[in-house]
Amino acid sequence: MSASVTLMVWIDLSEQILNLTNGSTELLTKLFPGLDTTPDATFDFALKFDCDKYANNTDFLNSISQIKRHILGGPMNAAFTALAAGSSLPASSYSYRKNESMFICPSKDKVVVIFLVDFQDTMDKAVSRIFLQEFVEGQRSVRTAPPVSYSKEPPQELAGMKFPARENISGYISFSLEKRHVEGAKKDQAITLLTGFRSYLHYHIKCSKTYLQMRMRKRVAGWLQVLNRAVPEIETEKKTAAGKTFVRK
Amino acid sequence: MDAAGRPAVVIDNGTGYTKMGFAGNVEPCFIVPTVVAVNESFLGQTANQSKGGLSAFHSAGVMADLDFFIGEEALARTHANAYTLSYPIRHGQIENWDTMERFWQQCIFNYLRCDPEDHYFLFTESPLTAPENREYMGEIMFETFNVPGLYIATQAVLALAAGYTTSKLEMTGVVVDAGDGMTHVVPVADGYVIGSSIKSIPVAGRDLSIFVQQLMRERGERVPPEDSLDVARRVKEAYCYTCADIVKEFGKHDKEPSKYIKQWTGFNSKTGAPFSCDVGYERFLAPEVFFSPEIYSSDFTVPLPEVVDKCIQSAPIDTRRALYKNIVLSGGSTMFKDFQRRLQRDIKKLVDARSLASETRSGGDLKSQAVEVNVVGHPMQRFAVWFGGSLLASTPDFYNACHTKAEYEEYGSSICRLNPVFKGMY
Repeated sequence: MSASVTLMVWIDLSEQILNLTNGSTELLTKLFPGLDTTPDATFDFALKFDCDKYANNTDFLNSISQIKRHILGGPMNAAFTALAAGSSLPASSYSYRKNESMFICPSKDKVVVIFLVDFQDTMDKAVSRIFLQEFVEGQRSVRTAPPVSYSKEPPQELAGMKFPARENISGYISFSLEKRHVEGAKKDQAITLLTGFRSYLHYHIKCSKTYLQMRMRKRVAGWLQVLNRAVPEIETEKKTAAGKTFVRK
Repeated sequence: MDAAGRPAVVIDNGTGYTKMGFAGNVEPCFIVPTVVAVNESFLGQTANQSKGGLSAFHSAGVMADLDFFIGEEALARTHANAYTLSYPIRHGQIENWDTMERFWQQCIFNYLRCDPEDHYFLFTESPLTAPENREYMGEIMFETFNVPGLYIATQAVLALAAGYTTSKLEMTGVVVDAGDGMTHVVPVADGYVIGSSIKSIPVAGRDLSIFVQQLMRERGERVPPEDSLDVARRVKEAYCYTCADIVKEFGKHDKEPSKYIKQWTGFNSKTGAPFSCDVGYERFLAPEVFFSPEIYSSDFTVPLPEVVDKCIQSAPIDTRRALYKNIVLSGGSTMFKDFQRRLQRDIKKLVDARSLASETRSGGDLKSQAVEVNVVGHPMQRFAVWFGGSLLASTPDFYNACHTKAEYEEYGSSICRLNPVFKGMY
């Protein structure tokens, strides 16, 4: 029995990256050799394969489950490979989501990966700014980590680049990866972490919102208890069995 | 591509298990126990406490907001010191919103790995959920997760829709939904729930597990006490079946013990020591609880077939024949072998006895047409509700029926109060 699987790969991004032929297609053909990748009309990208043949092939299954990472990480892969080899590629930019972009700016001794991060909701936006600043803080305590910087204005690496100016966004966060960060096995790790960066950030934002709400609920429950306790006692006249009261006249 | 172009996320939160996946799929991506392991030591802290407090945790590298696990990962921490297990849903109702919110958090980001802002969501609720609970759910989904659209569906209606694959789409029927926490019998006419005729039974999967545990304990099986409920649940899922006649079944077991008595081997979750025990009469006695509940509890003694019959009898008279014709099973606790046949036989018996009685009362003048009783089971029974949700959410009309974020921002959480399937009654 043979079956085919069609994978929808998100949006214009894949189209953009696949057309640019800068790493993604290479990576994909290396990972999935000999597979038909012609997409159906409504999809951007597809992989057709024989289920039976690959049913027990864990490596293949792993890589197919990470298809988004491979496509998004393609340009990074190319830039990091060049860096490790001592050369550099021209700078490039991709919109990895609607209204959000990723920039890869290679130079002689490092590759700066910049994310334009934004969230729709104003509260998310505020929380995300704190988190992004926290990244810069965190980097200081970990000496070997790649330098991180955060700004609300486009950083200087983007000076020569053309991209639509955006107002009131969460900000730009840039990671400068040096050669030692992308050598050998570290390269794949770095790509995985960077491609998952936004989801990671997003998860943290939602979790901290939940946590805030938990604390608020707890506080409200506590206050309600106080309020309930504060109900004034209704004074009733107490009498003894003989009908006498304790009221002093 | 906007959110309406992507498949919706379908999450069916049950008392025992949560089924989650994407619309259009045949099976849920994940079925995990609805349980959260939380580290509650942080919650009471305030930022300005002199000793320790939040800042101390922060500098120690502990993330208070991320320190929790769900599903199997949570169960694996049963014996861990810092964590307490919390079951956010009880008897089909969400009781603990704190842990439920965290549960969804992990479902979306860690299991389904999707962006909640990019997908519509379909949640399910038990037929007896209060409007306030629905509002609360809406509030959490729109405020915390910023979902673009939300639909809260009634489990019974979805279970009915799940039968679509086996027959034509029949939206009239009685759903017998026996999950882990609660058993509901819900009549649905043309897609509208007949709210006044809903019957629920406080006997469900968890009670069967407890019953199995009791029987094994009384017989003196050497099961480690801390694992006994878990072992009972697994035994129930693996070996239990429905019998036609309880007395005959006892006889069969006694005659050929080697054929009927099964062995269960497991490991002590604390020490890792292996143990084994026998599985005997509980194999057929556990499902029997539905048909003769008096063997389990003295509080509730009406057998399931009778409840179904009463439920249909209380429905409008013009729907009754159609309801008898389509009694749909859903939920994990209806998965026992031959459950469907037994239920059908017992209901048929009740119905036939009644029509015979009315015939004799009329002196044989009035002959009624025989009532067709049909109990329907299908291969998706265990996650019928989820599957129905998947079907529903993959139709283009689904996106129009959803509550949207814009509506929420305009009117507030009251938009979730009303469930359209109950509208038909008023």
